[in-house]
Amino acid sequence: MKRFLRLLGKDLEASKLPILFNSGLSIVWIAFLRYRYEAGWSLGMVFILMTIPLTFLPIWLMWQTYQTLRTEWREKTTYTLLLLPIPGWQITLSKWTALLIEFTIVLAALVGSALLFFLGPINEYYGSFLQAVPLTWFLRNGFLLYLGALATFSSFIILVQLAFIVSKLVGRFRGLAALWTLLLATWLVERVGIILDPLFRWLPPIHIEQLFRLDVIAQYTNYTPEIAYHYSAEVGSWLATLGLFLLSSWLLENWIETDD
Amino acid sequence: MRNRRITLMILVALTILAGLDLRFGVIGSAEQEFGRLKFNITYNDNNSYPSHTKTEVLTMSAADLAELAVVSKEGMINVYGIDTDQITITGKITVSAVNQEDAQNYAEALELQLKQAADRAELSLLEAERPKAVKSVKTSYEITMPKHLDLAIDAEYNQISLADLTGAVALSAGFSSVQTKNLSGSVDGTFDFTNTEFENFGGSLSSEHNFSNLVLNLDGNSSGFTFDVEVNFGKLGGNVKLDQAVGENEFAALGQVGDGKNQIMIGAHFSNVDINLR
Amino acid sequence: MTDQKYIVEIAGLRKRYPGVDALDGIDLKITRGEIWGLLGPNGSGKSTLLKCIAGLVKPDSGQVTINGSKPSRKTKSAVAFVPEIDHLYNWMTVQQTLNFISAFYDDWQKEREQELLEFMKLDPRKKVSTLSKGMRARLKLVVGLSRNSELVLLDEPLSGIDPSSRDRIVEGIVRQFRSEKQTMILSTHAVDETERLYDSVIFLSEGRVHISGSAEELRIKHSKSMNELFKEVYA
Repeated sequence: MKRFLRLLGKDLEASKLPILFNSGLSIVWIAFLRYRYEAGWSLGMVFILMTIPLTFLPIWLMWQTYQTLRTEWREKTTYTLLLLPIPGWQITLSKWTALLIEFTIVLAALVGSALLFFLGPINEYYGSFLQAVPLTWFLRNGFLLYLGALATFSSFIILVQLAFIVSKLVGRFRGLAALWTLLLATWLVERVGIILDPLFRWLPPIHIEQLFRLDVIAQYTNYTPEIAYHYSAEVGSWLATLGLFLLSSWLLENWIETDD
Repeated sequence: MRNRRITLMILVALTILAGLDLRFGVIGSAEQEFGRLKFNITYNDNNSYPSHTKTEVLTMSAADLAELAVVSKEGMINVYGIDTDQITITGKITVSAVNQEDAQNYAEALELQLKQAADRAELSLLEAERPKAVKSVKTSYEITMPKHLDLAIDAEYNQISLADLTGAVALSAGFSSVQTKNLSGSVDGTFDFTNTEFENFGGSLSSEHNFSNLVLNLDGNSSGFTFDVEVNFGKLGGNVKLDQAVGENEFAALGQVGDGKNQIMIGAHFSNVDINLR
Repeated sequence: MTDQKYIVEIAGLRKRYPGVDALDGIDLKITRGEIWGLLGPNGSGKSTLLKCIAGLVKPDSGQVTINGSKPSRKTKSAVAFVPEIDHLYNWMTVQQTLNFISAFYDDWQKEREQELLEFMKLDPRKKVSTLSKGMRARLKLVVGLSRNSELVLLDEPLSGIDPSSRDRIVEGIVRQFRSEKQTMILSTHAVDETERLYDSVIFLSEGRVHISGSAEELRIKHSKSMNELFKEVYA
């Protein structure tokens, strides 16, 4: 554990600048929107524009995944990493964890600044609704959505890690090989999900309305939605993703060479 | 060098397999897909606030009319087509408020409006700015009308039921449930978060469904149907044999039953569609 | 069968890069407790051979064993490899570097680390990126020699280093080498400065072993110093 935490600390420290830059940029963007709102932009439009950084986050995260590994190679610090007597999964897992922490920090900066800068307008327009619905409902659902985002982005990170590592195993056109591997891995994960789907059909569906406590909202509309989510294919895909994570880690430990 | 060769061989093999799969659908079938969602929205009248209901009855001659339009934000709409030349509406306005007095005062102040413009009549609730003490306003319409008359409904949070109509029906429903029986004219609909069930349907249908379920039970005695169905992120089922093309999270299905006179065109997104022929 | 006399055994080792045979059938046995000189000009395969032993490069064929085991996570605990290139994190300070790497090795000697830091005149607070090439070479040596590792691999530790640093590095190697516990393989083409260190030598040429054996016996047999022999072999 101590060794893993050292690796994680190193990866977080190395990502300090991108975290600060992206968090800062998010805060500046929200502040700019607040300024434009004061200048007359509608609240709806401002809310839509607020989500722009959210759409960039996954792309940035994939890029950052690629960059963290690429930097190790470019700076030749792979020698240090690959000489350490640790299993490959600790290296990939520490980078994976660091990236999710980075995502969390940037997201927190974005959401936090949005709440801070727009507390007044939100209260003005949605005050009565916010008073009626308990704060814990928002916190719970916000956290669930955050977990959902983490689960999705986790898979992205794993696939990009595999793409990078495989690209280091081919002699030429490594960028192309990485992109190709990413596409193939995405296809593979989906297809494995479909193949394994019948095996997991016995799993009970997740009732979204219960998970997100939609009854809290429904009592104000007198309608109760029921949304049953059947996720048997996704389970197969998650297993495939886990398999690819182990494969990346094994390749890193046993096949990757420092001389590329 | 050995590792490079093995890596390249695996990449090439997977590329060939992926190519075959994408071209010929080697892996997977229409029964298996991701994110299968089933929606159901039920009415849950557990309003705990004091309420007051006001009833109004409106009538209008349908002699000069081609269409009746109904607009409702919350409540219930039941429409029956009969052999008549008159439209009869029994409307109930139910107001819930923090106290009985507020509910009664506001309900009594509200009025239903049936307004005619050219050959079109529109039914709606006249409501000014709602006081804070009022928690909900619901309308419940029981409508009888000539069965050949066209009908347009624009509704949210409603339970809608239509029966025995032969004219054109235009439906726009959100967060609602729709049930129809014995419709034989054309239906043009948009349904969001709405479960829709057509029973003994014998007309043409053009509809869009988002986060919704559609069950379409077709009248086998009509002069046949032509199908053009697209489902993205959802399930297409039923007993009608259609030529299906399965793509990335989508089904496209074409086909014909009988003479194919009635056109069934359905676009569904995050929605399940079941088509059954009696 | 593993022979306790040898810490490293290499048989039929081949490694090919596109267009060149870096190692072309190497057979070697490295005796314990000695300092081995791995000598040869640039491109003779010295670095590739050391990386194969360290597990950083995978052979195409043949075998390397360290204490009877193929290079793996287990052998990495017993091997300290100091590569020729700068492989340390530039954004770390000297002390952060040592703290980071030491966490992964049970055989790390904190006292020796401090002793080496002082001897190499390294400021622990300085960032790696601000160190001169000579100072970075010294730091790499501190990293490699602060452990009680059974096998120490030094790849061109004097390459591109100024004379004052070269002397200090050689001196550092002499001071820290523990013959009763350690074996060292030192690759270089600066033979004159390191000649006095070697118990045994290996002359590599185009990926093959040209000469190998006891340094003393070779000196007697050829009536030449190692440096003279090196010049003759690679003339």
